[in-house]
Amino acid sequence: MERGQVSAAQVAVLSFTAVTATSLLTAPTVVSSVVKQDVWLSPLLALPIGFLIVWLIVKLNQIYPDQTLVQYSMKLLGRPLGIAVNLIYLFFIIHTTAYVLRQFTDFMKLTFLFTTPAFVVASSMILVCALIVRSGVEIVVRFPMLLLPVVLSLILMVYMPSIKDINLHNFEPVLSEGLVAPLKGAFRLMSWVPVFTFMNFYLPFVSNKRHVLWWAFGSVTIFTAIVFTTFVMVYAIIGAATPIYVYPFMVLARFISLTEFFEHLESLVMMVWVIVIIVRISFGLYSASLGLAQCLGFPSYRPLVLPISMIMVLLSYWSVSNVEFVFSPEFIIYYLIFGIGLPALLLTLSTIRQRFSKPHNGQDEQGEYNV
Amino acid sequence: MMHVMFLSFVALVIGVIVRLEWPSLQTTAMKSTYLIIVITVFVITVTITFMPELPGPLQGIKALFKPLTAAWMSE
Repeated sequence: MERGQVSAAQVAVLSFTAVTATSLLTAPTVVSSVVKQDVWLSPLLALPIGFLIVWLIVKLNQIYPDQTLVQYSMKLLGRPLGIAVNLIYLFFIIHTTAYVLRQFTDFMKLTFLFTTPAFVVASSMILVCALIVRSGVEIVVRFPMLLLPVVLSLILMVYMPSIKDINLHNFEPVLSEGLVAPLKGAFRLMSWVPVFTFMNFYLPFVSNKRHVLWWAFGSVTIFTAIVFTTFVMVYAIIGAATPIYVYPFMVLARFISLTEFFEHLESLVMMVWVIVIIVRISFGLYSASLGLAQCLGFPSYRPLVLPISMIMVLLSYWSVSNVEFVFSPEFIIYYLIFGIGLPALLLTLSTIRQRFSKPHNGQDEQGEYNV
Repeated sequence: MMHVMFLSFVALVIGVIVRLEWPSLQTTAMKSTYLIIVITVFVITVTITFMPELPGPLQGIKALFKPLTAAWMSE
């Protein structure tokens, strides 16, 4: 079906870029509304969960090196139950990616394109992503690597002029409520971290899997570092007013005034946002298309890309008044069930099956590398 | 009138996509799956255009996972 070859580093860059995409703009508000001045600690507390998720995915890939979650779940759960679970899992991928599309559309309409119909914004974005996904896994995975220097330099262009306005007293008193509040903030970050589970659709195409776990851990670490830095910069400058703003990173960009030359850098934020959202939606759209094709036994995933794109545009608007629900507890539980629960269940079943099954021809089912 | 124009545009786009994609659909299963998806999407689009308050997957997710949430999660 798909014969592309990518590297572990490229998959790592794709993963952290996709997961960081929506967190830059909205995570400071979501987390600081609960944690306040201890907002810097929440990404560090969420880091072990990210490590757990990628460890589960890589461990499953070690046992089934050339298969995605959709394929080995049918093997482990049996065909009827496997197909049912896979369809629900694929619906989760499509559903969550559709709400990312909605977040993008809302951001564009609220900040730049006031009179453009939302349908036009959403359809334009999904069309670009569909073209990327139809080009194959190599394009999907190499596209973020190509634009990573641009994204990082644009983010630095927002951070660097803001350094002079940092007020570290905004973080006082440190841990006044103990670790409870930062843990609640780390729970709120579970709206983003479980998206690392989509990595399972790309690992079968990694050519050299020797260091894939370290690259996966590195991906989670870089995501945590970017979110940590963003939280520190935003709260150090905006302070206790951070939860008031829907997009505090945008406020930061508007706040910059360096030698009266660098001003109104919100266009940089838009550029970064558009690039990373394309990566995020392509990440989910490829996963859903490939997964659905494998689940239904189709020879190619490409014909399914445009119908799934239509589903995403539809779901982004069906009974959704605003996207604040994405950070609701029900949605976080939804993310955790499919981000951690399902891979953990599959790994447990695989381990049980390995212990009780006889080895074939004296060989066990271990892959080429050990985790 | 605006709704009719919008739905006509959506139908045109779907028709173009199906027309362009049809030769690449090799098996009957692929063709039937493709048609099921696009027809379902169009029917739901028509329905929510005229009935915007129709409950969607979001309400289902919230109702399904509401019992699993605790009070501290909603602060």
